[in-house]
Amino acid sequence: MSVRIGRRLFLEGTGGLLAMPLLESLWSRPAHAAVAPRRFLLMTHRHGRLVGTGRMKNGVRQDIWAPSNTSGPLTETMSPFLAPLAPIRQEVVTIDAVDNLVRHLATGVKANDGHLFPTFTYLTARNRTADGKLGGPSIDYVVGERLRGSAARPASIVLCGNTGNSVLIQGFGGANGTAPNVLDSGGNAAMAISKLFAGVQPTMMTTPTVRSRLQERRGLVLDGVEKDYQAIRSQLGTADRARIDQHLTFLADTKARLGSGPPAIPGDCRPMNGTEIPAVARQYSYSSAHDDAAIPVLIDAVVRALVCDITRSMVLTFPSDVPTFDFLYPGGSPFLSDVWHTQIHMSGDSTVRQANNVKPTGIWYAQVFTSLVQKLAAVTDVDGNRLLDNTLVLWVSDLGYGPNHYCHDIPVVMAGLKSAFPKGQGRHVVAPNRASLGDLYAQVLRMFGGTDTTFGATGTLASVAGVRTQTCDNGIAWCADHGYPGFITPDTPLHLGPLDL
Amino acid sequence: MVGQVTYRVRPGSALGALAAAAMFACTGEIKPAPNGPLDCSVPRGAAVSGRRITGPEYRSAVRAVFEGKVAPSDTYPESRGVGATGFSTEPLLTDVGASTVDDLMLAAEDLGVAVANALPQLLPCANATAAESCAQTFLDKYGRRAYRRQLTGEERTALLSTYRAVRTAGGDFIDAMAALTTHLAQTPQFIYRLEGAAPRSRALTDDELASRLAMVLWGSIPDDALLDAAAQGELKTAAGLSAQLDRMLAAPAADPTLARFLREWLQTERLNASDKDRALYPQLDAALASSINESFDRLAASQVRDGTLAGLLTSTRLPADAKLAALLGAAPVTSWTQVEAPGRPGVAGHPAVLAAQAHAQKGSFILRGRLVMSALLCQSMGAPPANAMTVFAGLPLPADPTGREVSESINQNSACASCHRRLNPPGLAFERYDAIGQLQPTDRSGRTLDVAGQLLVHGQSYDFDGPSTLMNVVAGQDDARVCFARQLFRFTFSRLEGEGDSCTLTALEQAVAQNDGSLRAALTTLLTSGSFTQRVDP
Repeated sequence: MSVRIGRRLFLEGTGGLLAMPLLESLWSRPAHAAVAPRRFLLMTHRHGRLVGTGRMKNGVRQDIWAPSNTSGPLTETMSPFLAPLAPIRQEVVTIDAVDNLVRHLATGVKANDGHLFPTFTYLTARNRTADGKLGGPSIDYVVGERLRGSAARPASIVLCGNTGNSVLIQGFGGANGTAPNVLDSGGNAAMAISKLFAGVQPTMMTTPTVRSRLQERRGLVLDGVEKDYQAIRSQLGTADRARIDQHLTFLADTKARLGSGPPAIPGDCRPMNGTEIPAVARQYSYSSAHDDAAIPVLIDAVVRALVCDITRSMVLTFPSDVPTFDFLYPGGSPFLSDVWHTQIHMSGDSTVRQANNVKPTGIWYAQVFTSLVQKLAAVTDVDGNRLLDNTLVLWVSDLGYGPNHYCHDIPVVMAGLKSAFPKGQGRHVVAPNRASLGDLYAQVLRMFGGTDTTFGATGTLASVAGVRTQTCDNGIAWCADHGYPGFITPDTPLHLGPLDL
Repeated sequence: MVGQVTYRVRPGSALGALAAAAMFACTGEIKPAPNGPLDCSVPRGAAVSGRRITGPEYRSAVRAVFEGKVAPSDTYPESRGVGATGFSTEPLLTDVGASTVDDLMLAAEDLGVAVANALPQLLPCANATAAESCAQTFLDKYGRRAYRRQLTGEERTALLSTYRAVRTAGGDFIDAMAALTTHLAQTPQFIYRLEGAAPRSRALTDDELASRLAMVLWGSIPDDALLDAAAQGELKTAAGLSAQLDRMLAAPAADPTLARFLREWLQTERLNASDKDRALYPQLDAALASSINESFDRLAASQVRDGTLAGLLTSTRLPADAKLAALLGAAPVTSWTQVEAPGRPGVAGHPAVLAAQAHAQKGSFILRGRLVMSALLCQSMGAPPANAMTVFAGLPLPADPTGREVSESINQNSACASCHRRLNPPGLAFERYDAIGQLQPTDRSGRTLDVAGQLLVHGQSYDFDGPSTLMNVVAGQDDARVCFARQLFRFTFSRLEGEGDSCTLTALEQAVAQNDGSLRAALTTLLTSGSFTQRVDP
């Protein structure tokens, strides 16, 4: 099937920034190389491999994502899903046999929900708390906390690539699983970009206005606000006081970042504002035209935010329930507005028409990833190296095989931060003894200099949860149908060791 | 904080279909009301948590504070997800996180700039060189509204400190008022609903009660009349409180809140033309969607004000304009009028509800059945298992199956049938209504659909021959009354009921029964009860 990539995305992704302003041309190479910060860029999307179940049918594995069934060099053909990665395959490591084991700890309300619990666990590697909160911070936040360098910089920022406020956002968490720094703006990309660069916009002002003077006095105002919260807390009951204390914690963070006026920004920083978003994307409801117009600009915003050092951990997520992406289907979308999710569920057999309908979307995600990597490679960092060489790019999803809600075989792709891959890039790695998302994220932390051997929950499934563990007495097929492959038992350890990177 | 947010199912979405099409872990019938050893003769306040106000409440409050002369910022952080009750005011949904405080600051700056620009209309004494007394005047009028009471001396001093700091730094009056407003708009007094500590049940202060009333009935702040009544102690008397309740319920400001109560209870989000398949429903343009939405909101407000529970569930009269009347097949009208729509019993037969409980192409008997069983009768339904779609995909079905054929196939699987045998029949009663709630004599294949069935409640079976008799059966169930009481409780207190609420719930159920099912009587009974006029910390 031929796939139509959005015009701008195509030009950027495959043409080396032909159509958009050339980022490299905006930033001059420094005369004296400085030490560049490390960055982390996480991309996530819904429904994992989108097509297939991983099972064998007529001798063929139902899968369109895996470049190979064994570890080895990546070939130019990659896989149907990952074909757009071919131009950057030497910069990439694809990883298979990674499982969201913690999902199988799910307890409480909607514990059986095929999406909710994977979402709540795939980035934290912890079960939800008894009162329904995230069990801990997500990997982007933990990495960002270590890299941020200054309280003046958010640990992590989550930018929604398409309509936000959807279930996938709920997987991201800050300290102790608190709400993340999400820029969704109800699907208004222009507002999201304005917020992203809000801290550096005052430097662009030439004529002082009421607003610019007000922004310069943020610290003064926030001092007063902080005193109000401190004053009222003693009048409240315990639960309300805790709520106000939480507000005070984040208020202190905001004050530290934004309260002392415009932050110092790298000379190469070129802030964006919402006016760079095409008019069609400045709306609050989802539409394919909205995404087609906005996403290329959002990709640019992600890269520029890293250049501006606004944050050192950035997320681009595609959380929407309805990514029908009409623009991928010039002959007319085979989907109807809200049947995307059903289409995924009908794609377990990778040979059927429904599966073919879904494939272009997977290819499109790969195109977005490629575009991100190429843009990072096109920027020269302050140390004279490519921004890509100082940035680890990780792509994961909430599920493995989406058609069956499977949480094993999560698709994982890494790129950038070449020095962190002692065995080199351009490889496909099948974890020999399988690996958990906890293993993967611990490895990410080690790639940034950490000594972590675990991430999230530790021990075995049974020792941690003590509930909702299955012995698969009903047989492997039954277990697989219920998201419990045979290797997932109460005795399964939540960490299985380093990946072979 | 992600909190208790749960999977947000867009009505009519395929996700919703999954949620309903799958096997539910049915845990039985409606849970009995908690019967703790409480002495119901002693008034006791319900436990209420403080919370940040929601986006709609914020926008309404800004408009009310500044008399509509200042536009609210659209940067104010909205609620996240859907909580256990389904109502958008649950505290966990508005807890702050890493970006929330940033957004609150940006929204406050928007408001500061807007007020600065509108000062000539807001404050006659304002000009670039105006004195601090003008700022005091601002606080007397607008500060009192924002704080929902007179400011204490300390609060006034705190806000004026910001004003003075700007003036001291060389800013003019306009700059100082922008900063003062930005400060005010971030205070806990404005953006939170907070009440003083109550380790034991205590009466609300007059100001607290006024604020509670305004938030529950208007989703906003008290107006000057309510603040004055509170200041004069009128809310302490039954007559004074009743007079304010009558005034507030009659006010147009109550319309959006009463509509929100029914929308969130019945999981009926506003219908957009783009929600449905354009090829199949070309008549659903923005104007018709707007008519359907407005009709529902009008129906909700009028039912809560003047209707009964039986009427809410069974009445075949509903508001319609010309476009909607045509969709309903009612007699033509030229302006908004109550029309008779036979075969459309109560809210469950309203096009807004039918369209919400439908897919893009067709109605959903599962979603509609779930609405009847879960939302209207509070029957316990669990979540679908992870393999629901796998099981569903393997069910034997004829080509182009009817909903009833699908239902029968589902029920052949014993695990599915444990829930679906109860869930599907009431949904199939509405099978002749398409995805936009339009009655179709036959389906697209020309078949006349059988809409008769049996409602299974508490092991009893009740026959019905279509939507009207079904809803008559539903309205006759004690569970309908109990369920309404629970939904009203959840809406009012923004949480699920607990062990300590048995007296409140029993009184509410009795209020519904003893006043011929009057919804208004139930609401006023609750809002004048000790549960509401007192508080205790959670």
